Amino acid sequence: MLRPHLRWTLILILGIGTAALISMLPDFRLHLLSGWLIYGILALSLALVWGQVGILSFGQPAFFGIGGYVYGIIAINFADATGETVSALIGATIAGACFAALLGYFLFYGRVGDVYIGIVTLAVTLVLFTAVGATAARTYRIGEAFIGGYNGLRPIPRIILPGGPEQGLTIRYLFWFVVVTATIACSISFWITKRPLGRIFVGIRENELRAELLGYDVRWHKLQAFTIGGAIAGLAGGLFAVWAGVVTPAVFSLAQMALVVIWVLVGGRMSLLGAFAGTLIVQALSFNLGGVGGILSGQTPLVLGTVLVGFVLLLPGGLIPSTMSLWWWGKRHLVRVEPQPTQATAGDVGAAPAVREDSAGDKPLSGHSRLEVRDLCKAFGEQNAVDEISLEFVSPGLYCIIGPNGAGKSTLFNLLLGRYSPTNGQILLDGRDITRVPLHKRARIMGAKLQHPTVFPGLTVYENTWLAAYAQCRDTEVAGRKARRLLTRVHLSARAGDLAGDLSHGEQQWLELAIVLAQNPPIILLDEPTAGMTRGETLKVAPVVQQLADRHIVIVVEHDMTFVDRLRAMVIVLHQGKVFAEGAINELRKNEAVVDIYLGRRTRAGDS
Amino acid sequence: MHLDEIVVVALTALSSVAFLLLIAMGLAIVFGMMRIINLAHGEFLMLGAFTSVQVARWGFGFWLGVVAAPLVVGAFGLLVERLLIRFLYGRPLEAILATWGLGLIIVQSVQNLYGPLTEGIPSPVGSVRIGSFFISQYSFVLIGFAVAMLIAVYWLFMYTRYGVMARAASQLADIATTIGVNSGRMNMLTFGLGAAITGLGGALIAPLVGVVPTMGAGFVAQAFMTVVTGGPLIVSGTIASGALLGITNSLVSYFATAFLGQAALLIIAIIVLRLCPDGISSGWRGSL
Repeated sequence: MLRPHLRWTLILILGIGTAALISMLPDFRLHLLSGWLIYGILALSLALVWGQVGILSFGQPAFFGIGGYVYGIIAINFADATGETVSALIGATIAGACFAALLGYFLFYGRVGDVYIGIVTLAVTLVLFTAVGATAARTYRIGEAFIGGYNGLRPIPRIILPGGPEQGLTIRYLFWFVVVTATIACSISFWITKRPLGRIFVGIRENELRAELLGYDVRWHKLQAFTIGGAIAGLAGGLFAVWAGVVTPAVFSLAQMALVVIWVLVGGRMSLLGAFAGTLIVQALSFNLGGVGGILSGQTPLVLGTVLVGFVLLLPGGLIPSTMSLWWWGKRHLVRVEPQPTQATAGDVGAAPAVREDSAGDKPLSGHSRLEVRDLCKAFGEQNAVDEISLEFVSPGLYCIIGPNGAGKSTLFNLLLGRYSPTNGQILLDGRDITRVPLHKRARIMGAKLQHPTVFPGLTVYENTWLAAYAQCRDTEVAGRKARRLLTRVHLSARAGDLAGDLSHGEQQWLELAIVLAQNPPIILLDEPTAGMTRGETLKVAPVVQQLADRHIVIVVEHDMTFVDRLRAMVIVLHQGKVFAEGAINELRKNEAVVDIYLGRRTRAGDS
Repeated sequence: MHLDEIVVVALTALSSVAFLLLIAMGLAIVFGMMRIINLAHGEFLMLGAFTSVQVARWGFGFWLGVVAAPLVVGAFGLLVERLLIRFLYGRPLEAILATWGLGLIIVQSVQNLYGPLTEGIPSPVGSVRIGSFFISQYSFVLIGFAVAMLIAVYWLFMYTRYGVMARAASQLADIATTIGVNSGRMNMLTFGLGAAITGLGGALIAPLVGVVPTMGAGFVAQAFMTVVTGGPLIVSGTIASGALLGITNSLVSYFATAFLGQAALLIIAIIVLRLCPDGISSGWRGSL
């Protein structure tokens, strides 16, 4: 990687050179290029929404089209009075944002699933196509602007800058105006991805559940991203209206939607610049091959369809990231290997990670001391998975929930965590009812390690921990320090720069523990923390859990009796959804009934 | 409102429901059983319509086309499943994109064969007078076929060996495989079945709409809204959402404009999804 200032100088020189070359192009070429750049801005909006946050939206053309119509309506009505149309462009941006926000509110706050979001946005866009197409009658007018059905809204005034020439920007000036707008849209998008918000976005894409468990309001952040995407698409739509001189319902068509997705897919959805690259490549190809006189004249859909199928099946990452990773691969394997900072690796941890040593600054977030469960019930169909359970957990303390399969352990765990809402009963924290507090708001009270490692696989180990710490302190620097410190504690520092998805199962368990520690809630829930670990690793986990219990309420759901023995915790035996027995493990072993339903059978079966 | 008008409005609403069910049921099966969103669904409808046009052109009449369309489109569906869809199980977003690409390819291929112009197919039946109104007898044809199709689908999934195995494969593919259900083959058959029903729908709507290679796009939104609103139960859920959306659409269209009818359909669907995100039938009992 080049040093930053060198990189920027290079980009600047390249930019000026390209600009000089471009300004020599004839008008019609420039006009074509303007169009492609406008499409690039539209693709950028999808790259942001889909590539960064993981929302596959087919609604971008809807925001784009609405932007176009709004620009036209405002400009036709007010351009004469105000003498400029920049406000119309701003109006188009706002309209795109507002429509996206409205649609996004229904989608995200309605908890519409990922795949359904694709379908609903698609349907909305198609309905706009039909609906706007049905406005041919002269009665459909807004002020001086006739919507015009399939004939479209026309003529669209050019861009008139405040104080600029009255006849508006010519093709040549429009091109530069588009270049500047595209640069601004791109810079803003880049700026967002570099900010904490950008990391949160990627976190949501990588693992929505974990983001929510950390306390990020996933719905709100998705709405934010969707709205920003809508604004960018609306802006592109306004420019498009100027560029084409007319807006027709074709902007809402299936073909248009397909194109946007293809641009982004070809360029690579993870990369914002890839959106522009994909647009230029696809448009240049279809112009030269599919245009008049091209070898595939009139067969553009055939080409696009094949490209879509081909990329999905063979090159889902897109061109730009694939080439980039090839380049990286080449650099790593052919040039020279960067020496890795040598530190203790996670594999050869001699002793248990010492959680206790500098834990001075790590008092739990808030001093909650009593978690109480009253008559908690959860029914699935006719069956009560959790049946009138009442329990009390006092801080500091270590509690272990055991029981045979189907006893209701996982259901109780998820009720406490807030993933299920109970059919009946209450959960109280220091006497305050938190039964209906949503998942992301419980993050200040409780953190959880789920049975399957729930981390952000596409983020680095450091970023994983950072996101957890940032959720609580909302300070980039503090979160960074905390993340580094915790990674040292769980002996993952050497792997800080690696993707969490590349870690081994055991390492991911430790990473998840670090995430929960970074979150540092007064109550910690652990669902089978040793699942999938070797015997040796299991032995290392027990003291860590015990140390945590010095300051927190720790509730462990466990299967492995050897591990439970080591924890020396207060044990709660569940059976058929009810609390069957409570007490220290040694006492429970003497209880015939408990041995009968659980311990005995387990012991006879080999104790593991 | 006179009695005759009420009857006509009710019949229009019913045939509008039948229309939605005919164009959406194939999609509901493929999505409900296999979790594959087939964006080429509109093109499958179009292929059904073109099959009936072609059969009519050869002089075999409309009704033979209605028989041929599900066979042709069903066979095409089997082919598509083998060549494309089977690589996409468990990857819903990729499936959306790939089937979309497939749709574009189909449209352009048909356009190359038939040209971009609208093919007409006359209604095979006349109209009937109710009071001072005339209503096309074809409304009754649509309603009849929709009812027959629903009964057939219900019977197929509830009482045949294939149906039970297909439902098993769709619920727990791994376990179904271990007890001897060939879930790959089940998926292939289910996709073929969905395509065949879609083909039937395409042939049946052909006399009502302009048959053009690009016609699919006009129905895909309605079909998807019906399926998504319907939820997990493919027969009862789709009937419920088809009734809700179809009746809303036809009443609003009748008393206001077609434009508002379309808008009402969308708004109702979005409101339903806001209230129950997994569709109307998400809390219902039963398996179909």
